[in-house]
Amino acid sequence: MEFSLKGMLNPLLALQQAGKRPHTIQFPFEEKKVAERYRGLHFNDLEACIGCGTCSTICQNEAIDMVEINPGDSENAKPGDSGLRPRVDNGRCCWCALCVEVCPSGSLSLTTHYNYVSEDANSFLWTPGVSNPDGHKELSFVSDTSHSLLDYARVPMRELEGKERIKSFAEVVLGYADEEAKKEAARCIGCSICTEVCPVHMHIPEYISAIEHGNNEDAIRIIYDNNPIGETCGKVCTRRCEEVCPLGARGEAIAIRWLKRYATEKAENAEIIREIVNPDIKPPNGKKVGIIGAGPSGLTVAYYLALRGFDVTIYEAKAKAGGMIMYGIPKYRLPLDSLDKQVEYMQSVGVKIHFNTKVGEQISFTEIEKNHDAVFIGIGYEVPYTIGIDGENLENSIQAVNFLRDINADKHVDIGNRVAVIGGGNVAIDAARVSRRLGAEVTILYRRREEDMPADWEEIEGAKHEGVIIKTQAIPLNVVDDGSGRVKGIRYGNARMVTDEKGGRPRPELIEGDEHILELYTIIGAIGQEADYSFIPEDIKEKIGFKSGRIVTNEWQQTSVPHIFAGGDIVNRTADAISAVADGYKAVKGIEQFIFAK
Amino acid sequence: MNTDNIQSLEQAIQFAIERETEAEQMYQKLIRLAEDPKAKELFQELRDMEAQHRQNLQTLDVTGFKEKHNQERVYNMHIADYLIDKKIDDVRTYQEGLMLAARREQMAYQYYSLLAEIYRDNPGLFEFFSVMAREERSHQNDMEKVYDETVFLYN
Ligand SMILES: Cc1cc2nc3c(=O)[nH]c(=O)nc-3n(C[C@H](O)[C@H](O)[C@H](O)COP(=O)(O)OP(=O)(O)OC[C@H]3O[C@@H](n4cnc5c(N)ncnc54)[C@H](O)[C@@H]3O)c2cc1C
Ligand code: SF4
Ligand code: SF4
Repeated sequence: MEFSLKGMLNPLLALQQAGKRPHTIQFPFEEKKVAERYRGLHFNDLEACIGCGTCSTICQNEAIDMVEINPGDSENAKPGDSGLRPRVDNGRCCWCALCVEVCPSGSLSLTTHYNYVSEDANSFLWTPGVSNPDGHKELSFVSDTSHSLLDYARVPMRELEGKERIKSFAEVVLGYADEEAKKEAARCIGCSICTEVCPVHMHIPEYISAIEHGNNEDAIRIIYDNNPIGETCGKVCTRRCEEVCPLGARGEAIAIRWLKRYATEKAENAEIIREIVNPDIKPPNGKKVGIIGAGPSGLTVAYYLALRGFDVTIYEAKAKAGGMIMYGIPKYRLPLDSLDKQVEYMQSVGVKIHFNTKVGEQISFTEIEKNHDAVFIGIGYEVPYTIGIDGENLENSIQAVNFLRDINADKHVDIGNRVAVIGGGNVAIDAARVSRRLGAEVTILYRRREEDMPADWEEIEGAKHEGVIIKTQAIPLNVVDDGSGRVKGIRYGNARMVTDEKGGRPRPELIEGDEHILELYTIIGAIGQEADYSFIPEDIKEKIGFKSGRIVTNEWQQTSVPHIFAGGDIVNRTADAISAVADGYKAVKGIEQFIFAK
Repeated sequence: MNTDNIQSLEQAIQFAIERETEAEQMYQKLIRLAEDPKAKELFQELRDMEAQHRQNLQTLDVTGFKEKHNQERVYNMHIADYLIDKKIDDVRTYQEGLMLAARREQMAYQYYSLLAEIYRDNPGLFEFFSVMAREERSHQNDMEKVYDETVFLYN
């Protein structure tokens, strides 16, 4: 074996290194500059996040779960927010950034921060935004709507043109074609935030998914599960669900209403609905329930109780069922045959309706009480408030609800060529748009600003599109007489808005002397309605309990008189069709519990 | 009591007490007449308010009135100015009740203002009627606010 001096000295060579600076990392640590769009630890803007959980659903590594940051966050969350926030297990995360790509609010991002050392294993469960409150300063991989996995643009709805619209009462909205509906449905991320906000908690993502996959009959069945007037809601719902759809945060919410309309319209008549829904009707249980009013609330109670084997009878003052959706909403928004079809279907499953039977006139409340195990009151708000000014009783000064009722009943109403509508809610807009269709020039006089109008913004836009003039901050002072007891015009004054120091709506203050006269043929009052409880005996009224004119009920719509239930506009303040359906649905459970607990 | 007979502050207070009592009785009658529960509720509140005023006057405690005015902003929505006058016997609904109450408070304000003018040379009476006028003006304001928030919810 040959002797090698180099070999002998090698270990000593290693000693040379002892004096050199080491290559290992020293503290304080300096992070290397990272690449653009680097995918480091998560950050979440906790205010913008709505807790939809889409990030958690998409994650293939199951690295994200949804948690409460503080106990009670879910309970106290505002509508459209689950109150939960994502927590990332950094032991599982592979930094694919799919969660960021699908986050509809854009609150979730990845940062330049990649180094994390801790002896506490639990701290690898990282709640973005809480674990790194300053993370917004290190954003790197952020979601961008211009190239996103999500589709933020709604499939537009085809509508009649403004000039075409006012020629007739034809439906303005033309509806989605099959492919359009599927495309719109495919945008849904299935988060269910909408379900929470819907008053009756319709199974929205489920029916949207059925539509997407072409299973329309399934969609109808799912809709009828808790809403018997799905087609009506598909056309006129106030759609609070759409307000919270997370896609709306940075784009356009899913057209939930139009998808519901698409599905339900496919069932062309009552028999087809019956065939598709094919409801399971329980055998008669011998219990009788009397319902006063065939509006959305009364119909809902009647339908679901009938399916559960109850003997239900609705007492309805008018010749047709539907309440304000039949006699208020104009045909260009909700054609009457659409509603007739839905009511006929309900009758086919056993709902009995006594038409032209006003409780308090044709039959007494006491008799209904006597003949039934429980009573539901759903009489709505039908008595209009008057404008309250001089000259209001002149000929051709009329009320919107009466006008709309007459028009829907095909009666002739002579409104002439110049009309003013007083008010800023949906009823005012409906009256104005109907007047346009009857050929009149129409001005809406509203006391506040356009942004204060309680009417649906789409309705306001629709009215303007059809040529309705909206005069805001205009206060009616008196109706001018033409000398023969007829309306000649309206005197109104302009107002300035004054902020309310308690944070309420700004108030209009009349500017003295700034008065004008608008010459008119007809004035239509549309400032609001109240209920007529005169048919309820005094002793029951005393016991029932009212608050600000509305009947007080428990969560099952039961009043303080145990066998009397109530719902719809006379109970809830939201006063729309879907809230009336929700009240009816809750009352079904309430009535069942009450009757069988006896 | 006739306003011509008012000579002293005591008489002025007595006059105001009579007016408040009349109002209390009027609202009591309306509670009976009203078919609408919301109107009943409103009249009960108004009756109780008038009763409170009467008691304040009876115990000569008008100081509370004064302090209140200095703090509150009085809007001038002029709602009552243009409302139709309602007769008590015609009042049934909530809206009619509010219309009547707003007009009544407005008239009371105008009445006390006039009395304050008439007794401008009598500092005690002037002060008393001015305070009462402001109090009624503030009630008119309250009624108009309620009207604005309820009847004019959509207007
Ligand atoms: C012009 C107008 C437009 C509207 N537009 C929309 C819209 O676009 N979207 C929406 O969601 N909501 C809309 N609404 C509101 C919606 O119609 C109501 O919230 C809903 O109809 C309330 O339902 P309900 O069951 O409480 O009673 P209602 O629909 O008011 O029905 C009450 C029923 O009870 C009957 N009745 C009353 N008294 C008696 C009695 N003594 N005996 C027997 N029967 C009696 C009435 O004849 C009526 O049929 C609109 C309302 C109006 C007036
Ligand atoms: S997807 Fe976005 S908005 Fe939804 S929970 Fe996750 S971070 Fe929040
Ligand atoms: S409609 Fe909107 S809110 Fe509802 S599940 Fe789909 S994405 Fe979520």
